[in-house]
Amino acid sequence: MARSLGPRMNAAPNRLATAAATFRARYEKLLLLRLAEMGERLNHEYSNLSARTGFSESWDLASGLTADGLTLAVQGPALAAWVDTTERLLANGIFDRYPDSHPARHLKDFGYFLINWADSFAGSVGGCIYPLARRDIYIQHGRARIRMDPVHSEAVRWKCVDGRLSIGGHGAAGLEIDLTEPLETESRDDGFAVAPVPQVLGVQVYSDASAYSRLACPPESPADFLRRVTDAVNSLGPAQLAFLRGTARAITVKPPPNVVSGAGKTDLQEGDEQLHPWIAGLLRVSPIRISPTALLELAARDYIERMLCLFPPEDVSAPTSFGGDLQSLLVTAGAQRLVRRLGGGGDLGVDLDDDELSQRWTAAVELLQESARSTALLDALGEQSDDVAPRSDSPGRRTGTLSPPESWRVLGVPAEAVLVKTRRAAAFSVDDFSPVRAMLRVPPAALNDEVRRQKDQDDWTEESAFYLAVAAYCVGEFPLCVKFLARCISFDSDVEEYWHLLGFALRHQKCKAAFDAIMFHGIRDLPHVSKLVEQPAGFEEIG
Amino acid sequence: MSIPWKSAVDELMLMRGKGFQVSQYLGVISGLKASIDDWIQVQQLEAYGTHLRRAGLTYEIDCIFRRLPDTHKAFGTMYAPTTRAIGLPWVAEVQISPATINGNANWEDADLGTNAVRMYKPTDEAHIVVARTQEAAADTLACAWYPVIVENRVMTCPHGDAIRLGDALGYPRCCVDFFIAHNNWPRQNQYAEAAKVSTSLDWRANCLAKNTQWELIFHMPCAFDCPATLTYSAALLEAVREYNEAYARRIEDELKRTVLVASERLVFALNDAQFMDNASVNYSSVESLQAMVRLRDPRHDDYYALLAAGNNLKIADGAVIVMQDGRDLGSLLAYADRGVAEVPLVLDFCGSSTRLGLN
Repeated sequence: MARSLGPRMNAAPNRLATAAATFRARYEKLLLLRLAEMGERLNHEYSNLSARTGFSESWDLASGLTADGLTLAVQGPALAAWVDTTERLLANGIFDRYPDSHPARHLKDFGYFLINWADSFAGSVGGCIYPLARRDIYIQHGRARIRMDPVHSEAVRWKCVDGRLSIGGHGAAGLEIDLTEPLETESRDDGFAVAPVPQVLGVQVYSDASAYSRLACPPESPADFLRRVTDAVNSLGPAQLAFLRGTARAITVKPPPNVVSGAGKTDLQEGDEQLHPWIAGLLRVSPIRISPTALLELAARDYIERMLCLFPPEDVSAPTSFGGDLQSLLVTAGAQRLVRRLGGGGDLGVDLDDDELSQRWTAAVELLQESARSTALLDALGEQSDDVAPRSDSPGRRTGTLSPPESWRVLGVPAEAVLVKTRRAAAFSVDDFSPVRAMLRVPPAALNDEVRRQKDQDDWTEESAFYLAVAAYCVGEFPLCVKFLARCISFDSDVEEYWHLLGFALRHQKCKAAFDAIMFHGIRDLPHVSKLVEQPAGFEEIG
Repeated sequence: MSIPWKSAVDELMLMRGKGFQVSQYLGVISGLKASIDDWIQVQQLEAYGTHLRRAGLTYEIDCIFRRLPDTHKAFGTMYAPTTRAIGLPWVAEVQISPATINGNANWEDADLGTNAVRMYKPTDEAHIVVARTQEAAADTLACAWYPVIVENRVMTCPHGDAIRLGDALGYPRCCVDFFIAHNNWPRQNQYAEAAKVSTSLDWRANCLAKNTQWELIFHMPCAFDCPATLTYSAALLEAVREYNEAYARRIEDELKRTVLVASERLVFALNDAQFMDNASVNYSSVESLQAMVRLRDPRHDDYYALLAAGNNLKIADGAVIVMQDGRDLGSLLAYADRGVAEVPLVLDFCGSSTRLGLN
């Protein structure tokens, strides 16, 4: 059983700062490997699209990057975002279904990196940018940007020879930029101008959100934002500053939400991960709350997100796990614990009291499966992993699977129609109804025949009873379904999928009280449920 | 000749305003479909029931929805992209809280998460199933389900129930099967999938007005020229025509439009659209077809503002590039990497069947 996990200063601030820098370096090395894998896969599996979008050519050119250039390249948050997006588009099959939509733009956008890295190639290099009416092109590894005003959508060609970058392409002569002194470049009438990207103690500050946001920029004055961020950074103590610098590579504006939530809440709490997905090394600061502690908490979140990439808990990636929420809980609660260790806290609207924070953290940790990875994760966060006792009997664990028996497989139920059992109180899980989905692919007449053939046998295994119950559900034989789920429960009474399918089968028989008892009141007792059923309908065998 | 149910429908329309799904109710009254589901504020339930009975209909209550603020962070919200609410059991004896009528109380005040619901807020909504008979309503209710989160666990329903529900709601089976195969927000864009397999775009299969008062069909067809949908839609329009000829004509006009759609949450009508060499489209003004939707995409207003500033657009590489008199104004980028597979498309239901955004 877990003991109290209230905040404890068991990791010195200086040690945390060192750990932040160390793990950031590891993360960036891993990013390089992920980039290489993605690039090779795209060129191999999507060769036509890669060629058509110019990605293949850009990828070849990228291999000419110097070692120092490569080190700088992986430090840029934009590359982490690009790799992450590639992985998600591939995982969701978007490259196969909609190659000419987001994937085409995504591959073309790799061209933005080449010009950004142009001063890190040994020889001359050149390429093409597809702005699609976007405004900025970053150069010098993000230290400066070329702003296009007015915006335009046509392709822009560029070339870099001996440190001189020439860029243009829509009629006018273009811009010549000396990459050793880019800010000395004179603006031209064709709308190109070079501007610096300011830094605060080595951290780049993007004063508008356009580079990293899916929402329009807020009406925040860039100069004002920079000044407020600078003041906040300068207010940090030495260990806090070391932690921030060991984590963040860049800071940008986070557009405020369209709808302001209730009093006392800040946008740090709001569920907008889809609009502002985490990008390694990038702190998105809300203009309505710029403070040393807010910066520190964002840095702590970034640190934990990296930890979760390096030591991903099994729960986060399991197919029946609702991992995103577990991750979110670990990040938000863990970050506040880290902030307290670093001596921050107290001026954030999201600051929790000790009890609430302790409860949240305990809840998150208890959901982690006991494993070497979870232990490593907790150690890296400065938590003592032995605070969490072994939980082999924890109710939330996933244990056990069932596979379709041969009699169903010959009918066309795929072998992968496996039930992954989830247990009572398995928070962050979703019901695994994949066997139902698979069974629906079998023609109803064949299902019916098989149900009739099997239903009077009496040598039931848990497996055969379950798949028969599923088939009965699919063909609308709900009393039979109830009967065979009751069998399953007699084999293993703690499988949420059994209970939930039972609930739905009872609902089809208009047994609403029994349905509510199972689904909403957590009743997991067959005799109790059967008493709520007016007409037995499958419960004949229950004592 | 005056038909008795017409005045009842008039009353329902008056009560519900623009949010009333006229064509769906008329579909049930005319026997085209067994049932529909709807949300009625608890303070309106009594009057609603009276009008409904006069129209020859009845209803069953599923539960009470207490809508969550857009910004509310709850576990599992990625499973609920369009409807987020706390579910409360329906208990007829529970009173509506007078203290909250003027909006004085916030949503945390009613023993949420317990069985002891003592008060409903007047704005709480009953999720109901409407049918001609109590039995039909109960049958539909037995297979209707929204993903529910209980104690941080997401409960979905078995897939077979979607087929049963589709049948009960009168949707063509081919479209129900298509929905089951393709309604997977992170991985597929169902409108793009339907557009891909359509040989033409028929206004009678235009479901993109479903969140406006001019909706005809609610279901997403398996193709925008699906024969079963066209038959169903024509019958539905006939039912509307029987109720109100002018209303039916207006629906027809509203469905014969050119639409920019990126996802189920980003849908805009382009007025006076003219296609230029199948590459771009000129338009005079833009109209949101999501204006009545409560949980809008946060980028909705940005999209609208840029589109309204322009008069021409083209689609390239998952971006909508907006121009004004030939000058680029900016672009609206569609994303497919975070929960919703957005694919920007322009679909013309005015007769040309032109599609931009699909190669």
